[in-house]
Amino acid sequence: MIARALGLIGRAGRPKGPPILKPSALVKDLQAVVGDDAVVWAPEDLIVYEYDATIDRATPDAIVLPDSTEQVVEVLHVAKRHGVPITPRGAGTGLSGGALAAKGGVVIGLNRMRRILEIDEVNRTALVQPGVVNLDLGNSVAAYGLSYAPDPSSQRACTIGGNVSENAGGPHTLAHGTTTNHVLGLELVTPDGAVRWLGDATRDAPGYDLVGCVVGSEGTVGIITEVLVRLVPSPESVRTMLGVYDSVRDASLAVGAIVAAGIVPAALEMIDKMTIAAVEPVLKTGFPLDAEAVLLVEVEGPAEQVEAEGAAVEAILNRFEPREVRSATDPRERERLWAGRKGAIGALGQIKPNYYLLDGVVPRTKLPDVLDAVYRIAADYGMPVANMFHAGDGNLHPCLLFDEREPGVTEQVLEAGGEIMRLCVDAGGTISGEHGVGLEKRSYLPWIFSDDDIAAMEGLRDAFGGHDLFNPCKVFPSGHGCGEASAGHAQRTIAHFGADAHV
Amino acid sequence: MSDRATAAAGFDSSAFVDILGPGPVSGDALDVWAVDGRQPGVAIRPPDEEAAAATLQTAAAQGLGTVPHGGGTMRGLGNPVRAYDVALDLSALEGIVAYEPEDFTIRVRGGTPLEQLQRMLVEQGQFVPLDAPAVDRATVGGVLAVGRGGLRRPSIGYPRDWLIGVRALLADGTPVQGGGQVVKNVSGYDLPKLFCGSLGTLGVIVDASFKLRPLPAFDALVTIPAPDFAIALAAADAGQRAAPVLSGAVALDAGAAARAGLDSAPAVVLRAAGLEGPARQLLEQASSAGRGVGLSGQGDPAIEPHVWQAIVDLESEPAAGATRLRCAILPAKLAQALDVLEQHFTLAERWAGPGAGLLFAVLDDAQPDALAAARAAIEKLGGHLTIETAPAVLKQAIDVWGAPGGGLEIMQRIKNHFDPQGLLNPGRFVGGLA
Repeated sequence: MIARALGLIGRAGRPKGPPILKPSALVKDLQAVVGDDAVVWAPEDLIVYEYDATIDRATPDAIVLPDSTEQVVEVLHVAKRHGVPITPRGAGTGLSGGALAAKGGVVIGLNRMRRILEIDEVNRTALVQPGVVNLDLGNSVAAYGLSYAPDPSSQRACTIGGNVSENAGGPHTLAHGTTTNHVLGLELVTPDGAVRWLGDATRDAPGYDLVGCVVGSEGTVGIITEVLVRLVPSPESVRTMLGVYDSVRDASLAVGAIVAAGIVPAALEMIDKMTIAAVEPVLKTGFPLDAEAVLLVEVEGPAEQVEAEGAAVEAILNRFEPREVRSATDPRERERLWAGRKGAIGALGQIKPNYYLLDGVVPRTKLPDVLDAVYRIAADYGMPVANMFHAGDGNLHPCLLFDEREPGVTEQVLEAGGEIMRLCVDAGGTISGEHGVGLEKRSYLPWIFSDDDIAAMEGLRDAFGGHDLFNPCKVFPSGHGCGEASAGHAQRTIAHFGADAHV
Repeated sequence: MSDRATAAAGFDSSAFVDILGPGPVSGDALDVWAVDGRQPGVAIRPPDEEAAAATLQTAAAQGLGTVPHGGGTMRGLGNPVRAYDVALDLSALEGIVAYEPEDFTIRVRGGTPLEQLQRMLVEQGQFVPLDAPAVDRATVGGVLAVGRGGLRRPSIGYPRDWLIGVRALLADGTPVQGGGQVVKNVSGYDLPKLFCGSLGTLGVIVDASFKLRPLPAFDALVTIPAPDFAIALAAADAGQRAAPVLSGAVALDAGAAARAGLDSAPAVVLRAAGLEGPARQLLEQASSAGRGVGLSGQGDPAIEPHVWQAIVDLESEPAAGATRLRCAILPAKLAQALDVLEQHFTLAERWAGPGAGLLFAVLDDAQPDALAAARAAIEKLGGHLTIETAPAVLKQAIDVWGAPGGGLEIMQRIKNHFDPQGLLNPGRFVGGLA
């Protein structure tokens, strides 16, 4: 699905083939603002924008590809004149339906705004447009001995604007925090059409932390048109270690022991047997197919510290009866150790054509029990599940594998997903750690927040001036007429567990 | 909006006594609750969250201006309060709600003094990475309400970075919660970020959850005397650049050094944490970079956290009548910002963290015109000048915060939603939000 969403940019403007369609008044007005070639509206081209990387679909009326803040403002005015909502979109790699035009209207694709405007080596900041690809930013600042820390698995495609909207994470957020810890300021086009700069490089602008409120607001408060990010010095030394285990529990115990030893690794990741089965034939990582879990640990910092911590981690990995432990400091070698983790999602197609990727978080010590229950739920539904997750953060990513062509299976997958989310909530955790609530999880928000909590959040959204002009049907359980596939199953799951707030 | 009269003399606190009983309600010795010389009509110390909510509800029903109090260590911060009827003393809301050492998370009540929290964490080899002045009195809720990063911010970040969940009472007593007890969470809007740094104008923080860090094996300081402040500043800057993962590097002039209990001479203080070998190496790299820009003295690494705390404590109230300024500026512009302050004022004390982009100064005599001119020059450099504490008469003449940037209109609408009557700390925060 990702490939379908990313592989093509819809042919712009000209309708093709009979019957000949005429552009709507909305399309004509948009074309007048950004030019014919920056508006996608032919039905066969719109299909490309029906998806992100999750299950739901929704068709927009038009996609606009502005190349400046000024154009974004003008597009906003056109949409308001026509009374249609606006949905911002980056690379469409999101995992919660955030980029779907749930109520139709205009999708603003920010991919043409992809310039890195400034890299300030001394103050360690970069000013970028929202369409800059995460990895491109990382590569551009590497020459200055700096890094951009958040590294979602989709970093080769996903954009900074999307990362900011979803407060994206990644394996290295264990030590460095998620996107919100790395955004100093941003330019926001608010619903009134004003262009506002919020925050700045001092991270000391007087007033409420509006930047902190916009990060993770899932495109519901405005369109982000520039982002000022914090860069961190690249570590002097990095060491990656890999342990192969015969039981998930042993691997989990090793995770606990590393943390208990007072070590904060840069990353602490686990993949399970089903993931190994998907990865191994494609990527030839050398994992034994009958191993139950592979643990990946990375430490970074001054060379001497890395040496000491690396040795300590290796000793711990060895204490829990691993099949083998590998270790590398050379970048190419390290990349090979990471390949099985970073390529995991792409390899799942080996097993089934579709996946439903969940994003629950639990207190780290609850991981072994929660994982047992995840396997049990998947077994109950008779569905394969592959687990790859940020073990150090307690952030699970169970992937339910299925074939959407089998009648009724999509509904079952969504139902099983609801049960797994409930499991995380009951373990004292939450429904999303880094993917966002979006369309698919919004019905579950009352499991973690009271009506008053949600009213406060809605008040915060409305303070930006838009109500549901931007990205309607996202985050909040209210909002009707959104028609998402995930709604029906959510109602059933909620009926089963009750809609009580977990406080 | 003009000040509303506070009928301190004939204040009727019977509504509070009716719901709370007489114990928590006090009409005596109200001068200890004075903010900028202004006293409340009543001070209330609710014993628990429920009583705090009832207090706020009662105050809101009568339209009373309310100032929440933690440890009172930053009471000088903010513009003069526009309506001050109720002093809400949160010191009884203290203690741990839940602590899971193995998960590296803790949930603690807002009135808990920071030092008390850290002492308990140290027993498990953990800490919450926050610096605040007067940690024996400063409360978790107060530190979050102020919400600023300090001199160690290049290494430990900001309070917002460690706050994973918050529970606050809105102006009418309604409890509202955001975040949770897990270290990674994007469910719902990030209310913890909103409450952190909102100076008690949106709600009263009654409990907070943090992610924790393991105590470093070694955490040491080097204090090196400097011939003058300019060299101390250059050395701290060079040190931080040579060793970017240093915990912090501070330059102090003779006045600041004296108040911090160091010798009365300009000095550089460097701090590094981690494994002992690498941390010592960082301190040596930084010291050596300092020698390259004119530092001649030597210092030996010593485990002296109280010395660092004494420097952080410089940010609590100075002598009566003095004015303290906090300038936040890009590291590359810090020397220029110092020039600006020296052009406009005679500085009794100066200290700075170049890597943190923070410069502090204490002035004996400050005129509003000079402050406005200095602020304009610093804002031109991309920085901010906050008047942290000043005589009440000076605060009547100049806004203490400076330009709030592009979001004031949005901030006011947020304030209107969370506190529609404008009762919590009215007028104290940026742009006179009320």
